[in-house]
Amino acid sequence: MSGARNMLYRPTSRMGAADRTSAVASSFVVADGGQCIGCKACELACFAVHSQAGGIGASVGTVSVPVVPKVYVVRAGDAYVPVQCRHCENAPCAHACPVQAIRQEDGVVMIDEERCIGCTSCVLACPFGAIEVTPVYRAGHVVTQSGLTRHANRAALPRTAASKCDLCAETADGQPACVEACPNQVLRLAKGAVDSPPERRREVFFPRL
Amino acid sequence: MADKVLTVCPYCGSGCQLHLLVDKGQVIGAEPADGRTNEGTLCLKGHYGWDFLNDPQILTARLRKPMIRKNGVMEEVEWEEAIQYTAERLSAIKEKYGPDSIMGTGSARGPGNEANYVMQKFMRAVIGTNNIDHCARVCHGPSVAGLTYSLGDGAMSNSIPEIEHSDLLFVFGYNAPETHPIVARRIVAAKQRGAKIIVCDPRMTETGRISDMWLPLKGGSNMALVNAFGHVLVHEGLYDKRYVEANTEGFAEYVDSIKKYTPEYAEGITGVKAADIRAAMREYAKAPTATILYGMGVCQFSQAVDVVKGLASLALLTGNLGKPNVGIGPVRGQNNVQGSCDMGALPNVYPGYQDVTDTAVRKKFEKAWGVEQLPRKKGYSLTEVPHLILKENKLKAYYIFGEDPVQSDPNAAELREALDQLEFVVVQDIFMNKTALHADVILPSTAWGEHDGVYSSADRGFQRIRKAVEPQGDVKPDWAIISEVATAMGYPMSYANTEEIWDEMRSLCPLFAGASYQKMEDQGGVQWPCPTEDHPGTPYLYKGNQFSTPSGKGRLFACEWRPPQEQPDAKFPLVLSTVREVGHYSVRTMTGNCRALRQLSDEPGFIQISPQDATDLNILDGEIVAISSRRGRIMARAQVSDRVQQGATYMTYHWWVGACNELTADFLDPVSKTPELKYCAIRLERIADQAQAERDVHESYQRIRRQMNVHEAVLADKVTR
Repeated sequence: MSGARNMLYRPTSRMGAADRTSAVASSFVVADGGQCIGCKACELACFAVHSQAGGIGASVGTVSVPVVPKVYVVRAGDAYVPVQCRHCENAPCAHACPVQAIRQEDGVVMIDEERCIGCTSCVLACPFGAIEVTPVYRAGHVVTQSGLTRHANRAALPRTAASKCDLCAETADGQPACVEACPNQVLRLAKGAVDSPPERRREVFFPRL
Repeated sequence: MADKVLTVCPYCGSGCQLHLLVDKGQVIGAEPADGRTNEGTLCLKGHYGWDFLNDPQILTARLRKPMIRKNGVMEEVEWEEAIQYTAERLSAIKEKYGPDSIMGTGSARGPGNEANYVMQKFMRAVIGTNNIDHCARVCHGPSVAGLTYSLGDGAMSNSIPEIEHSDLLFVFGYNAPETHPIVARRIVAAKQRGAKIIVCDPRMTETGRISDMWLPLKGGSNMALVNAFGHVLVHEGLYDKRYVEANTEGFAEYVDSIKKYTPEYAEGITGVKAADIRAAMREYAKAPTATILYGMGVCQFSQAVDVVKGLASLALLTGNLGKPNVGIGPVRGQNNVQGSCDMGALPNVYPGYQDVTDTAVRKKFEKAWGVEQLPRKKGYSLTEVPHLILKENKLKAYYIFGEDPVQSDPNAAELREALDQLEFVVVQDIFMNKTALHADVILPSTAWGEHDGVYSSADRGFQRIRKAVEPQGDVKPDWAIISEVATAMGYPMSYANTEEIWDEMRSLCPLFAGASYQKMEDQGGVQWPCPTEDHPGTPYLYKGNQFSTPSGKGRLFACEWRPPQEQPDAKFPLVLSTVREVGHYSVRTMTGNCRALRQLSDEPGFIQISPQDATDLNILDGEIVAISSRRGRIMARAQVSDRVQQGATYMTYHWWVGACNELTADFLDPVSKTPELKYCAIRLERIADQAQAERDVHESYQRIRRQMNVHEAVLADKVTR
């Protein structure tokens, strides 16, 4: 293994056995692509819950900003599948971030929008394509940055930041919105998978087998 | 804190119950309720399809004030003037040309059953004609005609929850994930329970993907395939002999009709391998319970009624009727298309499917409505209207209620010409639309969420809809508007509320007699037939194999396959079929005015083409292309898809710039008069200057929106760019 690659996948902390039992392993939303019908209810639910938290509007129907969800329904080969952040234990996005804007809280890989400089390093590092850099909106309006202007008319450009699934951390009422909204119950929140014994793990990932 | 109002979704026919969250007189959200068909789930339209109530003018503007065309220009007037003017013009035309010179429509959308009841009563008792029809004519008209012939009732024989418990689902020309995501959920659940799924569709669909067998037939070859299915059942002895003997009639003629349709012969027409045809029917016949589900892929052909009867025959041959978890399901597209049929917004039946030519029935309605003589002969069909105006000069006035035929019906140019030739056009609607541009009077009504009533779900389920917010502007409920016009024409109609209308309707319809508001309240809904107060309703039809046909038996039927009417040629080498997409609905005035849904897909819409055709025509995915047929020319974005067969193309009819009904042909099924929207010949052309094409699309979109009374300020807003 090359040094650089070793760096990228370095464990975030060195824990002893005692630490392991108390550690919170990552959670993430797992999708059964085989049963997804591509209806996009998850995309809108995701946007709705995040725009609510951002103070944009009461819900998706009354907002005036573009709909930018943090989960995307994509067609992979013959199947549709919702793609979102896997909240990797050794998150490559966090390693790639030059300003430490990405951190892990209770098993959730979070982006600090304020600290993010929109450099797209995390976008490149993510093996799942789950991150994108999007304009930042506050209270229904795009946040501009005065220091950077469009050359021709000196109009301020929007401030951008990395955006990805945060398991609905802002609302923190248990279930992520996409899981709740899916009419086919294709999405599930897999919790504590890594710390569990194998039988439990199997149940988490393949409950129907 | 928001109030919660329990109601039913206004989009597809799944009949999902939901709570509207209301705060300060505005809807601010929707939550799924535990309805019979949706069980606490909703698709994206249910979750986010209510924004149009706020009149955001994303696509078009709400109608807020009555309007009359004066010197060629629509002018806002007071209600009194609009009602008086409408009544006078209709009376004058009735006087001059007779009652049959006037045509009216029902509305299969938001107005609900009561408004449809009042409308058909208005046409029959006040105008004096059976010229009333609605958009079921362009969708499930063949189901009503075909299933009534075969089984006695034109509706789904089973209920939506039963789909999940069937051992085999036979899906024919029906793309549930796009048209009814909540029914698709039942199909996925059935699969999880171990059900076999067989899909007949020219395109690979989401259901096709999870199916055990996908039969990709050539577009327009349905009858040949269905006949071959019958051939296998009969000649391999797979049919249920005892059932056929006891419960059906016409077996000898049936066997005779299908004789030549061996799987090998059908393979030549349909392109489906003979072995697959055999394998599919062996599975279908073997399954302990099997359900047929079908949609527009069956109905929108000029041989649709025959195919519906053919499919019903397959269910009859195998005994898959009259018990739970089996049957034949024409899944209704619009939320209340079943209800508009139930309420008699059809030219041949009164409410409750009672024949207009039956003297005893007519006497009953004459007495109840206080009319000396109701019209004796059947009325005109909706799809005959352009022909009746342009060729036969028979219609002079058209009362269009909650429909936008210029957008939804085939051959739009001809329809516009027909509307302009009429002496008098009334449009009663919630949004400015393409049809309203041709109106003499516009009557603005309340929308879903702004009034009470009852919808019928696709599986015959009456459910209550409830008013959640006060309507803005000078608008009235549809039933109230129609009542006022009737009163002004000298036939007093005064109802205090929708329940009064409903109770009058129930008293005249044995099928619905026991379905009171109270029972709907108590049970959450009532599936008809519900003949008495103590009857709980009927989940599946034909219990004990008692069919509603005159003889009480199911009728077997097969006939010769006929190719579609317009075939591709050198000038128009591709075939166009109209389809749906999940985020938009029908003529799009409602979903197009919901920010979220609008952003998922927008003008000019897509045309799906195969990779091979794209290569041959030098077209890239996402490019704007020009599409023309013998009837018109439009632009849309190419969507290259390997799910599409070479030579076939698909478009949705939601778009204004990419309006595929400028292209479609108006060939009709001879019985149901349903147009052949699934098959016409077109040509695709590459546009070299893509930047100019994008500008053209944008400009024509803005031009149409200006016509739709969208405020200049809104047009210029950043959201609309």
